[in-house]
Amino acid sequence: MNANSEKGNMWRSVEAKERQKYEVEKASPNEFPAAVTELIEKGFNYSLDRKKFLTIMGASLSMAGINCAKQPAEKIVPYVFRPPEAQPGIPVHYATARVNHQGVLPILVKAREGKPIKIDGHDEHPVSKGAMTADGFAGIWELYDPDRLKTSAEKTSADFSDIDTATAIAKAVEIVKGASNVRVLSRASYSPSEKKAKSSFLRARGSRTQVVYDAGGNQAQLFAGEAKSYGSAIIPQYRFDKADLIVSIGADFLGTWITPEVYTKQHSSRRNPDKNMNRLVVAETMMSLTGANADTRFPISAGTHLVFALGLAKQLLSGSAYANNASVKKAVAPYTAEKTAAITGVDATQIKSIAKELKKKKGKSLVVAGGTNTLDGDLGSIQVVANLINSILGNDGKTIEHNVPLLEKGDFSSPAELAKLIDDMKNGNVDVLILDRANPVFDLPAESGIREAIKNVKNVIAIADHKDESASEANLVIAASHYLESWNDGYSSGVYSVAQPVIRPLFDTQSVGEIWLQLAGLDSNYYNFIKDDNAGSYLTGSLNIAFEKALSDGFFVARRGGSSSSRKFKAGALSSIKAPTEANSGLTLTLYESVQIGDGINGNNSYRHELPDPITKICWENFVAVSKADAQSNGWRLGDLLEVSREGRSIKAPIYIQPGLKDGSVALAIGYGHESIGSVGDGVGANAWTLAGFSKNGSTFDGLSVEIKKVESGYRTATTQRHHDMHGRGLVRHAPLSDYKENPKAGSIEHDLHLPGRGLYPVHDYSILAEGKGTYKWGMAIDLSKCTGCSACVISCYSENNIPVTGKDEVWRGREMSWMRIDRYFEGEIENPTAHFAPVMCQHCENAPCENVCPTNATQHSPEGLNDMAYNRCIGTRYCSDNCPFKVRRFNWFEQWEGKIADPAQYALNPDVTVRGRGVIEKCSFCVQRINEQRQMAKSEGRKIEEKDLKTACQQGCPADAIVFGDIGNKETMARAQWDLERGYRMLDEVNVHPRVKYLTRIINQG
Amino acid sequence: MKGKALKIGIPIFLLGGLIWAMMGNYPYAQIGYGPKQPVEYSHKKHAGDFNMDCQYCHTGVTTGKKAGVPSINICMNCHVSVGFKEDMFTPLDKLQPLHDKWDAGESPQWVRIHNMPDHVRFSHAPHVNSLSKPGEPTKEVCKTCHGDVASMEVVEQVESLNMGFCVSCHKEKRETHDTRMNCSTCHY
Amino acid sequence: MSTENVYSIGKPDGEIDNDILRPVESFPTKLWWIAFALATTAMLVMWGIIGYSFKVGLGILGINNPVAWGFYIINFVFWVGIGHAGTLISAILYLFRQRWRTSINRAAEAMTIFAVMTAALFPLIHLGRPWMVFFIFPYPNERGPIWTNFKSPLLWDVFAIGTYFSVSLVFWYMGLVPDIATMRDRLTNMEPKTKLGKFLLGIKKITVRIMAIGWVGSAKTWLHYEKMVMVLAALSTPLVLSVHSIVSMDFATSVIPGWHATIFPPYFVAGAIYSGFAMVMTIMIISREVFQLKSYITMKHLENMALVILLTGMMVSFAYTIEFVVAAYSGNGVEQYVFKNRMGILDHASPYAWSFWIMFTCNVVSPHFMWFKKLRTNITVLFIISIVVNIGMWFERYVIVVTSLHRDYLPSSWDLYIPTWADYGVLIGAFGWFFFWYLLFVRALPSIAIAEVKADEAGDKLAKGFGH
Repeated sequence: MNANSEKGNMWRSVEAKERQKYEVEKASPNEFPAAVTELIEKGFNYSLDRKKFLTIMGASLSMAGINCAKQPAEKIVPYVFRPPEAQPGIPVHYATARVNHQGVLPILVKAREGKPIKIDGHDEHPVSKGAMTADGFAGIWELYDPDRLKTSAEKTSADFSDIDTATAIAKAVEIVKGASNVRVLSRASYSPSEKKAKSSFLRARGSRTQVVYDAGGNQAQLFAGEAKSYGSAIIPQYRFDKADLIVSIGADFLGTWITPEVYTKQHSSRRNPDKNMNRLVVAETMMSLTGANADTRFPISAGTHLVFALGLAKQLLSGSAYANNASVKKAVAPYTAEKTAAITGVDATQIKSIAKELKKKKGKSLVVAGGTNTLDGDLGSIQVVANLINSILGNDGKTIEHNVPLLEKGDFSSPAELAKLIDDMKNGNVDVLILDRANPVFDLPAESGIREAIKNVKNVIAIADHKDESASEANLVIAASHYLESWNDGYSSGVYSVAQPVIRPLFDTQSVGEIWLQLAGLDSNYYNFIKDDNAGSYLTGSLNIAFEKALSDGFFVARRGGSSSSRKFKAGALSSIKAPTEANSGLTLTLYESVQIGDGINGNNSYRHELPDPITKICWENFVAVSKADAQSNGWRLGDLLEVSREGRSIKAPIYIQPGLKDGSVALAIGYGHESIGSVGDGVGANAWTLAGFSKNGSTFDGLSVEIKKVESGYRTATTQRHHDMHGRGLVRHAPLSDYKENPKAGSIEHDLHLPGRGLYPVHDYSILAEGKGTYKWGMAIDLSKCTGCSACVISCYSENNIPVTGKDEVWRGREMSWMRIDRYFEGEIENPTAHFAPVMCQHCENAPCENVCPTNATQHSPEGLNDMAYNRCIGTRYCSDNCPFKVRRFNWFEQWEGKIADPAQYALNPDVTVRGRGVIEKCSFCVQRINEQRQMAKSEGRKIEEKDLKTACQQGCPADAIVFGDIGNKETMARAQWDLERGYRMLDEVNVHPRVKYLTRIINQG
Repeated sequence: MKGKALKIGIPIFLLGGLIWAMMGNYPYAQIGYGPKQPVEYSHKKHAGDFNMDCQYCHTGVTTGKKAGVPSINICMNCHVSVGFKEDMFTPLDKLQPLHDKWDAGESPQWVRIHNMPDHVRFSHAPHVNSLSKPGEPTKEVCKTCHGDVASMEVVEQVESLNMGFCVSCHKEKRETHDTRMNCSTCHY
Repeated sequence: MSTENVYSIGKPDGEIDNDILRPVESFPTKLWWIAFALATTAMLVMWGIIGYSFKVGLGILGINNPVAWGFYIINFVFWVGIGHAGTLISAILYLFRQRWRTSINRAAEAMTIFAVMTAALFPLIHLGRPWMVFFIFPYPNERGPIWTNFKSPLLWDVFAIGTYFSVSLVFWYMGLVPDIATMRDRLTNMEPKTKLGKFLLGIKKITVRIMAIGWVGSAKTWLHYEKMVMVLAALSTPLVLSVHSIVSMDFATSVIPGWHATIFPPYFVAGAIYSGFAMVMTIMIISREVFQLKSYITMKHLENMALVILLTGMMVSFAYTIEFVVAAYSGNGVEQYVFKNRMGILDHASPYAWSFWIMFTCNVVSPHFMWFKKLRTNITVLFIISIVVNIGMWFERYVIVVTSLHRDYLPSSWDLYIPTWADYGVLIGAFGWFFFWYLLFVRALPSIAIAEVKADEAGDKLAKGFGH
């Protein structure tokens, strides 16, 4: 991509955008080939065509030799008018934002020939600083999801019939007009304009009309807790970068909690052992990404997160401002260190020592608690305790900034209101129910009885992008656009973002804002509505100019935050808290959100399913995580299928023996088990909401007592890593901070190295190209202290390099195609092991074993030290793969694209990367297409490539900035600086392959 | 006598054929490929007689991967005012299709001549920029691969543009132009 | 010692001709038809699977990452191994004037040819893009030109096997010429009854005449013939050693623990001869039973072969030992792990230990029965052992390929190899393909070198005539 001319490529004005739209229509009668100059006649399957070529190139050419046939004639269809910024082959970048129920994610979208092909973080954004999650990158495939609603639908008698969206909306308006009792059930929205459009619809019908719920519960819990303890429902800014000591009680802030990408960036910025390194302590049940990265982790029994928090509070209370507060005293009284230890299963001494540490770090520590896995039926309770602790420690206002909150005015309804709505529905008191991108049938606890209730509603109108579980219950389904197709705005952390469409709607859909405008009967188009009715209240200066700037920048900083005075903690909030006073007996279940699927709203994305769970490395499934002891005592073994049942409801899922899980605790991921969302997601995994508890005080996800029995054995679970022991091979090296301080080489394992060049063949001579003539020495350094294993890089790589998804069976066979994988090893005793992560991609060895053995010279060393792979020369002997010590080479066992890829999915392919056909080997190329693009540009401008211009997809995707790539031959570069660090080591250097990737030993701060 | 001729002739013929195929002459099938275009555009007239610079139409040649076939508005820069019959209103017959397209707001579907296999990457800008000498018209550089287009009524392919063609040039310009020879220079 | 030669048959030449040419000149027996039908079906199944994999890809096999080579390569090495005994017998034993070779060399050579034909299939069909196989041959091309990678053992394989096959073929055919001439001459005294019979005989006559390339059997021809055989023998002797050494380098030159071993070339050659002789033994026992050639292939022959098997068997066992010693001595943890994993002596499960122990019993234990004359002169025992040895040798390759690959350097990439129906189909089909050719051979050509046998007989007569 062309980083230094990004801004130049963004739209200067709406007119520009509009003009290009016009050209798009003109260029071709078809809707898709927006601005495709080189448009191939037969279908618009640009990529398919390329791939077909790859497969039969040699053959067809030699045929040509025999019968002198010409290549198939291709047509070139130029623009009628070419917009100046649209040059064929040159990507255009649009700054926009993903505004959905999770919040606002600022993104930069790369478009080629009018089609978005990659989503990246927005580096210039003041808060996110370009941070992304796997979830964010995956958005591109949701845009091109063939199973998306292509048009609206109406249920006549039994089954649906398609109608175009305009009519559908008109019908909806009609239905609503007549109805007396109209209710709206929706997910949270962080778009001011959307809310405004909606509110003008709701205003007429009273405030109770809308019920907003949170399926995962993270945010609702936080808002509730904040409201209880400080009076205002906000999500404050947690500043993990300001805290020396972080204690997380169940909050998976590196994986799934609120804004993991931002938190990861902040956290990793403090994981530099040479500077003031922070310390992370985690107490949790199921090992989460955060727990896996903790310096100290306390496994606690399911359902005892709150107890741990209270126990901790009690230890800290003495001598604090709240020491004499009656209700505080009362609340924490029962939870002495010993009692807490007894219930949670942590040593009393450990609790005390953590308390001691926290006391030392007053105002420089941060305690976070919450998350799906801590919902105990009393929404926000654990937040209150966490807030108490932070107030005691005086962190509030220092490491917790509340004057410019992350998310304001949380419009979540109370659980009671939700319960009330469901009752009304049951009793048939609801005439019309509008589902705004909500799928309650799937993601509300079965206990709520929503399934039955929704059947008693006369008219259900669903605004949805898939005909999901709830939409299929509806009479009218209005097709909503993808966020890359629609205008929108968002407000978060005091930053106002304008989200612009990057492509015209692929199907007959409309943006949700547009739809609400029409339902509300406002006569305006959404773009004008955003600009004229909303932007004004955030932007300063002349609206037009300010808006255009916001449009091209993607954001506008409305308010700047910073540390502030601490808030007054309402001790009264504690009175209502009821925490268990006994250790629970029998098997206790905790439900959690997984990194790859989250709350399951995008469950039809095959890439999300193929992405292995960072901790267990299982994909295409959720699973019952049990402790080794439990498995043994019940006679369960890997490959068993278990049936988990609670109060008459039960689901089946395969077993996984999870190290670091307390005996008696069981964990299961939510978000799986769709019944009707699309060809990919249906029937993948089991729906854990079936087991969740539901009450008017809040849903229960943690501490559910369940029965489990084995129903089947020999079940095939797809996993990308079957072996979790490093066998002392020093692959992922690590050392305690104290050791590192004495010896920067701490943790490294000395091998008797062969001398370089002691091989059969001479070492590579890089002086082929005269010095100073644009020669580079590409290398990569990966800081294992920063890497959290979040897998964002993996998905970014998938998206950049056209890597196919293979599906469950193939993954089970060990044929996943991922160019880079994240190795995860466990060390220490199985009750509480340490997890280690290492991203492994092609190491571009100096003495590459693969190069010597390829009979056709298909893989060769480049003068810049890259290990080139020429797909079209490969005949598929797989000898290179056999001989690769890292096993990073991937073979195309089947045709992955032709006939496998459904329109319009092919548009997600990156035209700069050859799509590999059947029978060839592929592997990480260090994003050679980006290197070449930069070199070509540099060459035509007669300069050298600048480091800032060139980032590999994984480097760009890494929210922790753990991956640094660049010219290690040049002393000035960041890459070289990292490369030269004493912490650095090369994996398997003892084999004398001399990788061009260096890993920096993981330093653990044991306090 | 005749038998002898066969005995010797046939093997020689077969052998010759084999060598011909082996020497990879087949891509030359593309040489001389000059299909009929939707609009009878004459490079000879424009680039030759009028001596227009290639970049007037092929705008991307120094800035991008693709040289780019001009969008019609570029043709129309001139052809709103030139290329009409005496009556000054009806365009010349060979220009009629262009005007039709223009009025219809469509663009003609040109037939692609220089067509690389899809696993080969060629970017115009670095080649043109590093080969062109100051003060010299662009076509001098373009000649290297496209031949003397300025003299062609209908453009046709003059070079094989097969791998050997690229490599030979990259080989000899290695020292002077710092060209790459490794696979990923063109295949990625 | 007595001049009475144990190998002498003591029959007039005409009778020898009759005995040996009986299967060729008489109609096929029921038994033959059954065998042929079985072989052909198996072969067709194999071709079916190969065709399917050409169409949809190699995914139908059990191979994966990290075990990217499976049954195909195992079979390849196995069959190349089988193809060794033939040339050894006909070339090396010829040079050493081992008389007992005469009655088995023809069949052994035929076996070699067909085994190599079988082996040569696998490198082709295990390719991801077989239609691009021409990339593997160095020929002037328009791509730059780019050449093949002469560092790659796979390329060496192509040359080694190519040479071996062509030389063996020529050698075999040259040996056949005098016998074909005999057939040609005997065809004249055959008069078929039916029209069809006449027609077929006509064709047969023509083909045989062409194949006999005008052999007249004059003293001069014999002189040339002997010279030429000598030269070819000298030519093919080094090949016997080179082929499997090079095949072994596919593994030896790699960095994968369990492959990366300098002992491989001699070890593989020994193994090859071991399995080759076992195969010859199997086939000889069958044919001498079926075609009543007991007086030509005597117990003595079998006994000699048994001794060769015993010897090579011990060489192989020695090679195994060396492998383990080297691993233990190397101090290389990864290397040591691989060998522990093979034997299944780890603190955790090693899924392929069973294959190692099968190999061990079959290859290391079984040959030692040959120490006892009673056993090595017992047809049944010999037959069983000859088959057991080949099973063992197949598993040796299985152990080398699969167990080394499935757990190499990074535990994160370790995985299992689970063969599919396609793998088994091709494994069996390969035998079908081999026997298809062999069965045709025994029907079409004399499976014992008539001329040589006669020559030896003549020699005996002379010896008797002047001996005391």
